[in-house]
Amino acid sequence: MGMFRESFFLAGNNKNRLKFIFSLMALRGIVKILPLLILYLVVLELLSARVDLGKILVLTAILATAFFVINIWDHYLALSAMKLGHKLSYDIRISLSDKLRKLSLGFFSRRPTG
Amino acid sequence: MEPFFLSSLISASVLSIFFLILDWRMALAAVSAVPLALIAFTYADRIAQRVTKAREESLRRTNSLIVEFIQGMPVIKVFNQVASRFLRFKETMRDFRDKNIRSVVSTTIPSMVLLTCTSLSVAVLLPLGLYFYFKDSLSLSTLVFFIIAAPSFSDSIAHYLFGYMHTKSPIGQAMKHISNILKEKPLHEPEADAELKCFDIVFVNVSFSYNGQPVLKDISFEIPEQSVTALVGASGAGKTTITNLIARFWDVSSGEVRIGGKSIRDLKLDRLLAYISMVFQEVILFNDTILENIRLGSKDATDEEVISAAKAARCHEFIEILPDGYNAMIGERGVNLSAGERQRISIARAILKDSPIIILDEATVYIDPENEKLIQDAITELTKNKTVLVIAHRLYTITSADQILVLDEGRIVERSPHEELLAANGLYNRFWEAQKASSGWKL
Ligand SMILES: Nc1ncnc2c1ncn2[C@@H]1O[C@H](COP(=O)(O)OP(=O)(O)OP(=O)(O)O)[C@@H](O)[C@H]1O
Ligand SMILES: [Mg+2]
Repeated sequence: MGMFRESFFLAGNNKNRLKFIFSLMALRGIVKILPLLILYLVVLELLSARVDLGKILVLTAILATAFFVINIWDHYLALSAMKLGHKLSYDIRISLSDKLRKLSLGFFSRRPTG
Repeated sequence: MEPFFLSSLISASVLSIFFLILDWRMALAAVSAVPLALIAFTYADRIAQRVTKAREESLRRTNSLIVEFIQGMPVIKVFNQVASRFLRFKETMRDFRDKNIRSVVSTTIPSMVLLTCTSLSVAVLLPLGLYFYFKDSLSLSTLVFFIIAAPSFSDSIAHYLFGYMHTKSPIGQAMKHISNILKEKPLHEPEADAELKCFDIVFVNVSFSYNGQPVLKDISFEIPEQSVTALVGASGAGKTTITNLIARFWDVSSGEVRIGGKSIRDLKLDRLLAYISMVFQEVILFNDTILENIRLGSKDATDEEVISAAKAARCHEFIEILPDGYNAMIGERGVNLSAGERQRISIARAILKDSPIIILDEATVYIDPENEKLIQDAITELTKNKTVLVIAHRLYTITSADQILVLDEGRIVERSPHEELLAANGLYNRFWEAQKASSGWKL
């Protein structure tokens, strides 16, 4: 995926933070499946010969907790992704201006403005 | 930049693994819609890319046309071009509007197709699952799981492709653009360099071309420290180009520029530029106060230092009588300064910077004698004990220069002080006579 390589290149010093966000995102993908699995267990229990109500209650509690955690997680992730995004674009703008200062003026006549 | 689609990708993959473990036939059915979605997606992606590109080009045209339209307003008005120019303006804007609409449409229709395709998997799963269930080859629990999980699965796939499409075109292209600039090779700079002690400037066999168009041809000359050298030549002879090479706005094509005996390529750019003050042919002032515009010369200067530079550059008198004095804004919604006043502000900048080398690219515009006198006073103040290169258009301002270089078609054809050049009766003498005749000044 060229796009990920590119983002790491652009991230420069923020590479580790970017990696952290990316792994949080990947983990979120797995965690999002958790409720489905719990639901599956509930269904299994319901279909079994002797329905154990206590077990179903416990599973429901876990399900509720899982949703709660996922929501917090999502919120945190969105927030830190946004923060990192702004920080990244700030850093990129600064390094870009620094770079442009060091380029020969010839560079500017070779490309269109805008 | 929000690649949330990464987590959708992971969800989809993990789910399909679960599917495979539970029942491979049902798993196949679940992913059967994926190839269809992929085909629809690739097609949509191709169109989206084309349309985005067209939109970006249109945006670029729009931007430059707006700048041109506003900058060129006086010319457009004077030559009575408003109507025809405005037509072109309108045309470009209409094009931009249409391209925008098309880009939105071209990305929404395919995403609708995409969503439909991915939700198809449920339609395949349910009948197939029921069939297996009634044939007793699928447990009820597994069937239920597939039906619970299938919407999430197709959702994740659609979300992934969708997010990918939306970020890839505009953001991906911007990212590529920026990366390319950051990877562009900067001007050569040394790892380390030393302070210079001496500031004579030497050109050794310097040639230079703009994009293959030769402008300077094998030029050699010397500007001794603390002396004044003037450059004279017809318009387009390459005078400004020479000053640009000293500041390394461009690098020479061949030959070498030396300051204090060292090639300027062996100096750090910041250091080199710290040694040089330039007063440009076109004065650029920023939309800021007069105080800050002068302070550009040396960003750590105190207000008192700025004001004393302004006094030395003969700016103080006209600044004082402005309503806000030094805090008057320049430019849009601010004060409008005359060419002579702008020139003196740029000289004040250079005085404030107080660098050992001064490069003056005199404005070609006509400045009234009174202002001219003030500017000359300011320049005298600026060039005291400096190594000076001055490009002069009014030759009487350089009669006292230590040496005058006469440039013709990229070569130095004469070099001497004023009196000797007159006696030599060459190109310089012709310039001199021509100016004397046209302006009729008395010497
Ligand atoms: N950025 C550029 N790209 C391409 N060609 C250029 C560029 N700048 C200048 N030139 C060309 O190089 C030649 C020399 O230009 P230069 O600006 O050095 O002339 P000049 O002697 O300063 O003229 P003037 O007295 O009008 O200021 C001209 O023919 C000009 O068209
Ligand atoms: Mg010039």
